[in-house]
Amino acid sequence: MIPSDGSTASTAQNDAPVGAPSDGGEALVSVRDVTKRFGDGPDAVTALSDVSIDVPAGSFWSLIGPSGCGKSTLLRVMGDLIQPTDGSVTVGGRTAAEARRARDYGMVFQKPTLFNWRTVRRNVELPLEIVGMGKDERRKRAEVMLELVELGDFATKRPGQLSGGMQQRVAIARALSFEPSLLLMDEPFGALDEITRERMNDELLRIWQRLQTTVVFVTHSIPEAVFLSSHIIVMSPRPGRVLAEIDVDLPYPRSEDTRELPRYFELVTEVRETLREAQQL
Amino acid sequence: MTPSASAVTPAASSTGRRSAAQDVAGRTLPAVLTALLVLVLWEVVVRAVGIRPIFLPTPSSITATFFAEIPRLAEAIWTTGRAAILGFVIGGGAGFVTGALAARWRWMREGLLPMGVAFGAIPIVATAPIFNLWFSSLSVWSNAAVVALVVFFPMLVNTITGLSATDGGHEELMRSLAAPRNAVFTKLMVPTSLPFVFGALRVGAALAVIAAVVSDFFGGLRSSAGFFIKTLMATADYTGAWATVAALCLFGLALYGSVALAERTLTPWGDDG
Repeated sequence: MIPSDGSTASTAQNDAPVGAPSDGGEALVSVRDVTKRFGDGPDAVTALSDVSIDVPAGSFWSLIGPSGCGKSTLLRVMGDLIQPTDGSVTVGGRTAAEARRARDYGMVFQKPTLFNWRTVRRNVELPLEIVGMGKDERRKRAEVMLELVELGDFATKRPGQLSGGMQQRVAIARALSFEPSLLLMDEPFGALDEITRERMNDELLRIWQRLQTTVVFVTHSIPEAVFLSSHIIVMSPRPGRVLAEIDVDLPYPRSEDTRELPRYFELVTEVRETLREAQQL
Repeated sequence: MTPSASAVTPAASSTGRRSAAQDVAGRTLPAVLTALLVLVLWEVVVRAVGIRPIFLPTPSSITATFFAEIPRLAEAIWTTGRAAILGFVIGGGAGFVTGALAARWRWMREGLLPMGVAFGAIPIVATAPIFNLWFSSLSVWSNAAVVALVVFFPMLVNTITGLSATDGGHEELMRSLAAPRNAVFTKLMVPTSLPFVFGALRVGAALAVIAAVVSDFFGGLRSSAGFFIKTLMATADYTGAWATVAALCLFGLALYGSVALAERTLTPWGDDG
């Protein structure tokens, strides 16, 4: 199931300015025949069945599907937060466990999971403290990251004093602070209103293009998946499996205008129809 | 960043500060007014009904005695209060350390928690004479030991509960960062436990004064508040005994207030809502 990224890559390279990420890289993440069952015997639930995907370095992939399709489970298997029953995950040639211990993963969860006893800046510093970076350096790095998510003025606030969207931006700054090679995002904007979500999508793309990191993004929002991704994995529920892969041949950088392109609407429709098929299976 | 998002938070936080100040005033004022009302009623009823001071002296006479006896009351509070504070610190510290060990290692928890429960079931009154024997009844340590024993149990239980109260999302985050166990303990578990620890300290502050006075009644130092009350009752100075109770009450409030102040200073995020 290696994606045929010919069209996407060429479109991106033709239309995007120099430095825009493309799908042309080698597979950073390889998921091979992953099956995940929860429980034993007759009560066992198969969350994932024989899933294989290859995410190229520098690309932005979304996992989309109805609830219960195992997209979050797949992300957690990739991040070594849960173990697959069968199959394997490699990240840059390492096993998922090795990659996690080597701190290859930046994770952003549906909830911001900030430490409310720390200031915003010290939340961003948390991973840097854990990797043992010196005080001055990590402070400087945290401030750069906060500027990147445009929260420089809020460094000394506590998370409880910030809105939900701002908290999630702090979580993104924290996940990126130690420059992980892979950013795993589990419905990070699911709890936000539509307007805030679109703004966060714009910001996320801007950051992704600046940092050129690889992103795997779980969502149940079709417009969000189409707007953000270079490639979309559509999953079907019970048991979760890959139903279709859709290349998103919209040029980067994307903006407000992208949401009004005919091609954008075509892709949204394509994903929607694929998902509808998934429901009927 | 849109103007709306950046404008919301500073406004919200300044509103928060203003309402916090109003909050304090709003909570203090009714309490003070209620206390004054009770004292006035007390005074009026005692005078009107003609209750004898042996049963209930008037607040005004207690206040007068209080101010007249300040040097002796101060000595009594110094003796008993010192035992209360020493025991509070030792019992609280021991409870936290034991709780931390129990939360860190499962086998320790299984060994220590039943022992902690057993400690909590010990009646203080029963331990006072024993500690007097162990530490000499003329030392502050016998009273402090009684206090420490009383403060230990709530601290142990709350520390274990607090250290285990970590949020699942936070645990997953630390796991994704491959955080070593010590980092999880100091950066996640300990801060999570602080509100629980302060809860135990507040309970402990109240218990400490009670335990210190109770142990005063079993021998103890001649300058202690408990001994002072016994002496005053024996010489029919009931107003003096009431003044000593009032002084102990003030001391207890001060100890509790210090803990509450430390809590607000050290865990300011509790107000974020």
